[in-house]
Amino acid sequence: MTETNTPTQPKKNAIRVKKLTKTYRIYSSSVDRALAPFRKKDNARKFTALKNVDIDFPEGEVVAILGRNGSGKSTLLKMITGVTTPTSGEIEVNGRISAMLELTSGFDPELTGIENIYLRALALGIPKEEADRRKDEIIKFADIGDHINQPVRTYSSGMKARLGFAVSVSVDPDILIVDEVLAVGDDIFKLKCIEKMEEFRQQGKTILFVSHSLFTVKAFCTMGVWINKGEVMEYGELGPVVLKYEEFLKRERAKQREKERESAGGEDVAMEKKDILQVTGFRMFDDSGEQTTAFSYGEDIHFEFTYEVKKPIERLSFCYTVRNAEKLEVYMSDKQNARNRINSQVGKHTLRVKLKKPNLLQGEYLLSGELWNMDSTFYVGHSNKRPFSIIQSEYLGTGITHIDYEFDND
Amino acid sequence: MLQSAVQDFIRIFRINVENFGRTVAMAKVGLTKRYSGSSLGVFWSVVKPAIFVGVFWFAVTIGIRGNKPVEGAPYILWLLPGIMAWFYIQDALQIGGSSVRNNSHLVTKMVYPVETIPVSEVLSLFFVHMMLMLLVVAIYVFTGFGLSIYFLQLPYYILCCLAFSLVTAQLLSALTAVSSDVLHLVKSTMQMLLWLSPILWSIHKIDSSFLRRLIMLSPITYLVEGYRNAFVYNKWFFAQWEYAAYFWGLMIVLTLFSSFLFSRLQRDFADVL
Repeated sequence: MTETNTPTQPKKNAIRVKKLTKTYRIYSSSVDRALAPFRKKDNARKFTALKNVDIDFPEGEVVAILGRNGSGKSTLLKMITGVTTPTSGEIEVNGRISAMLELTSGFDPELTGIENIYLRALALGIPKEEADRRKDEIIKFADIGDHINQPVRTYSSGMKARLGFAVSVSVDPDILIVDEVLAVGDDIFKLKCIEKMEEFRQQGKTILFVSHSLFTVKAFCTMGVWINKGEVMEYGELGPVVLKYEEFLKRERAKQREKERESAGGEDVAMEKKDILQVTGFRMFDDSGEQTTAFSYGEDIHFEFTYEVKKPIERLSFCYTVRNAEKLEVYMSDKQNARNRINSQVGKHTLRVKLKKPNLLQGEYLLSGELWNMDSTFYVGHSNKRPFSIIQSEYLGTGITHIDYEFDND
Repeated sequence: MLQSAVQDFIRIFRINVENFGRTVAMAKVGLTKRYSGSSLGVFWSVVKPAIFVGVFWFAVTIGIRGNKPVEGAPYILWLLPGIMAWFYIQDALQIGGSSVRNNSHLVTKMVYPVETIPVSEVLSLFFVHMMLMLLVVAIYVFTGFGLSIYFLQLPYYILCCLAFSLVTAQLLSALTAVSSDVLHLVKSTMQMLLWLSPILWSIHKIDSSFLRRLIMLSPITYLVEGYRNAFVYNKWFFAQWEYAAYFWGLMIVLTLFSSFLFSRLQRDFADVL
């Protein structure tokens, strides 16, 4: 997957970023910004999106740019393409850049697809003759049929992405910047994009690739940059960078969960559930007391389990649900019924439940259920989609349950 | 500040010269776009002012003052050149003045010479203006009022109008791009400007010479009166050379000011739009 970078012949750099810093100035009102040129003292708050970034992007590499939302990825790409200017630092670009910064938004909604192709060419300073030559290629690649002659406002987001990608790759760039575009198109289109990018890669072109799909990144990129809070955390061969980034994501998720738990309520919630209540020894058995998960039609179904209350819980009760094999609910007990209260004294207890002659027809069923404190802030499952089956000796019709009937006839 | 403003102006001017072909092409696209999807197309840009003139002419001649001529011309013929200048100025201020904001995709999504955006918008409006002026000429000819030798100075006044439009569009587009408050301010000032400028009424009816001079300070007055010089007043522009000097002096100051401001605010465009 990784192209070997022979040390004897170092690659040229397609893009060199040196000590790049971008600071956004935030004003309390837009009038302040308009008047700023006339003020001696700038009264803006500063927000630094990128801090002292130094990266060289070698030619012929596919570089994944990783980072969470708001980490500064887009700011970096915007400066590389020249859409916005750095506050300090330098960017050196060797070659023609084609950027797809949110490629669906650069179109004029009132103009047709074809008109937009020409408009884009015009805006990018491409001569009309060249646009004429490239037009057919673009239409073929976009592959959106007659819609090409309709106003872009009538397009679906997928169609816009197709057209956008087609236009961007058509300028035959030396450097291609792909910013989260594969999120919209369908699988066939994604494949087409990847193929096109692969083709570019083989031609020795440089691709900067932003995606939150680590799967695509791993399949396609050769190098990685991980940016966090405006700083480059890691840069180099893809494998180690992705590994570190994934570790970081896991840590962040864990932190997030911790926070949620803390904000959810007092110390009881922060404790593990099993420190309060633990369920063990679940089993199903038939009338004769024999453990089984296969019951004959019309027979009682029993289940039991042991639960240990370690801290006092108010209003502890139980509930259960029976679903059929397609996860369709057959029956759910009344969760609010006070009749279902169970012993909540500290200590070990056993709960035995008998489902009385359920007229379930032959088939596979699932049993789920919980112990809970009736205001849904605390619950522990005693069983989760436990399969059991009903065996029938006589044919009684089809469906889920048997509805007994009688009839008169004169 | 003055030196930097001159440098800013030279820079903006050079970028505009280098990209002039593209600017004109974008102006054409802008023109077709404004009316695309409507069956009458560009014709709407004639219908809109025609309705305004028609209604106003009806209200004034039938309702308010009777068909008394103004400065030797029927009211409608007197009204037409002035109001045409106004329509162009109004669009330049409103549409040209919000051009950067309205073309934000050129600013934030690709590398495009932002300095040319107000210019191409003003040029696209200029096509329409030329069409309307042709129509005015046709009306003068067909009503038998005719054109005089003074008509030859119309290109000069059109040039003045173009210069004013370019400068104000540049200035306002930079301000409206960073502040939507300015955008609302411009929109709400338009009606006021129309009634405070001698467009629907004649400045020569004002007795107080102080008030008249005050109104003449507005460059809009110079342009509106200028168009009438060419059509009905039969007065040469160099006969009022002091006024011309004042207008162009003001233009130079405004140009430097707007170049300075545009250059300062320009780097914020991509960040705020």
